[in-house]
Amino acid sequence: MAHIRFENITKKFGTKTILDNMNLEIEDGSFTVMIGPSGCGKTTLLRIIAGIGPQTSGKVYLDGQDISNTAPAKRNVAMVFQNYAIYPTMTVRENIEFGLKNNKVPKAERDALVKEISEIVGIADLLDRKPNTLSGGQRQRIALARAMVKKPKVFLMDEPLSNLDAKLRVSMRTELIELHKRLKTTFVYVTHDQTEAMSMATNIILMNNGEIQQIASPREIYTNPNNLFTAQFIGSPQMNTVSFGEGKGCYGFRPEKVQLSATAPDMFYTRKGTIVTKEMLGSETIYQIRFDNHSIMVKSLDDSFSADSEIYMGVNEEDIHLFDEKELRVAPEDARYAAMMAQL
Amino acid sequence: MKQKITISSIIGALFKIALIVIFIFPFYWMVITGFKTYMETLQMPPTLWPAKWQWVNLQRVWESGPYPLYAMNSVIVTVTSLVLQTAVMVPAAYAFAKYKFPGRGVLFGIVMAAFMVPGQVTFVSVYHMFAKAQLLRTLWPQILIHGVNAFGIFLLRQAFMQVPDELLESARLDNANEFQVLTKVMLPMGKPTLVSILMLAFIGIWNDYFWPFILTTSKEVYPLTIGIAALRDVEGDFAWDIIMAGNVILVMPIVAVYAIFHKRIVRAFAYSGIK
Repeated sequence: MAHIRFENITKKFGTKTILDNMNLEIEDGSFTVMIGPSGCGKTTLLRIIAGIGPQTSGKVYLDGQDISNTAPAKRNVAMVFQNYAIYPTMTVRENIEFGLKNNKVPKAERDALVKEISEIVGIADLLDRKPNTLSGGQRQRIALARAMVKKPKVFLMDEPLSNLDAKLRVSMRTELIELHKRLKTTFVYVTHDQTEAMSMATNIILMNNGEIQQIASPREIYTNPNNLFTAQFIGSPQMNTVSFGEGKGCYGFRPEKVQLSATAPDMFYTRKGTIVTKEMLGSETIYQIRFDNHSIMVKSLDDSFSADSEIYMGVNEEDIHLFDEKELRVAPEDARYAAMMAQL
Repeated sequence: MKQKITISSIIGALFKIALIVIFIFPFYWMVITGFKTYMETLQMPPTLWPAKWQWVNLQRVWESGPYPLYAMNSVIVTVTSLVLQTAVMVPAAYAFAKYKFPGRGVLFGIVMAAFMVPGQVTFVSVYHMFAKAQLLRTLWPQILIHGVNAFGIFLLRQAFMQVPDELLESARLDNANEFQVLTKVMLPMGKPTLVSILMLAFIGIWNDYFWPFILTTSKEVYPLTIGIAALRDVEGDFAWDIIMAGNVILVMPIVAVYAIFHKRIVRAFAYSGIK
């Protein structure tokens, strides 16, 4: 159980400022995913929590206690690294109990813990093996076991699934969700993969250029993006945007919110265009459609339209998102909303 | 598929055999000469195998002077130097590889310079220094001159640089102190390199003739190399049987150590980074 709070955190590498005066709270027991493009500062934040890449200035609180200058090992956090960071010269058992030994946990207790955890993550029969004889998925489990065995207040994970193949990644995702439910501990998870973020998080922190773009649940961040960056970062294919003209902002709609038809539909927003490309993905089809010098993507369950044919598109009013000239969302409550919608 | 025997493959094989002979023959010659009688060493044409193996030659060397003392000196000098080297090399390589501190570049430059300057350039001032400290009648000059292994620091640093930073961070999160990070994480990964550095250093110190020749002024502190060379004065310039028997004694420990460690040494040189 742990609540994390950042207070005016600044991190500089040499003269380059990565995080500038950041304030942030991570809820107790949440599965918080920090996501953003490379170099946005998400891993930097994680390392600040762990204490292995300390902040230049500012304070970090864990359960209200200032841990800004506490040694990494005394913070009661555990971390899973992207490359797993398994000690290659130690057996699996030695890897898992290394931290316990350093913490002077008695042998009987250590053995019981190693047994318990290795059964949970399914590596009980690998304990005497050396890491170089194990597969990527097994190493991943060792890294998890090594983190879990310390019973930390916070799990920090830095892109732990990115070195696994696609199939394994999907199943590990489910396992991590189950693990979080079981442990009820705070998870802070860094990734650049929005599918991971959307599928696992209870809370997403979207970052760009060292700044937090939005903090919200996956559903909220998807349906109510704060700004254009968030709208375009989350969702695949990304949200279609059409400019109102230089300096006048833009409107956008998600590819799956477009209805295609051969005749003009009776909807709030309709356009006529030409299908440029068609990608059959199995359960759905992605069309690229061109109209009035704009190119948009449409995700549809209907695969009956063919490339180069003319087509009508329709979008409902509530599925249109407006963004002002500063790329911030113009919500329906906003005074400017009606005037902007009228331009469509 | 069967390999074709071509003229170039035959030439290649002959060339390899020639190389092996060139390297092995002096060693072979030393061993067989060391086991011949004095008369047999003078025989023309020379024999390639002793008529009767003269094991007594080893005994004669051993008893012709204070050889047990020389051997003991060699052991003390070598072991102490290696211990000292390790004690300096391991923390230094760790610091150079994994710490950022002001002056790191300059200090590392000094280390590199140290192994690029040959001893022959500095020996006069080194001798003068030890003489002034009145250490020439002790083993200390021979130990201290080998106490730091600059090349070893360089090699071990390279090996330590291959260790991913995440491993150290992980160890620190696992509540390992710096000494434990070094001994439990870094050293096991650098072990093959360390073993080969120490092996090479061992051969260098054990066989060293130059420094003991400069830095010893009395028999009590002679190592084996000086003692064996002195056989020529004792036994005469042509007592090849005795001189070579002395050399056999000198190289035996090296052969023994190599036999024990050769797998590790080969592995260290074939090491292609730690994944």
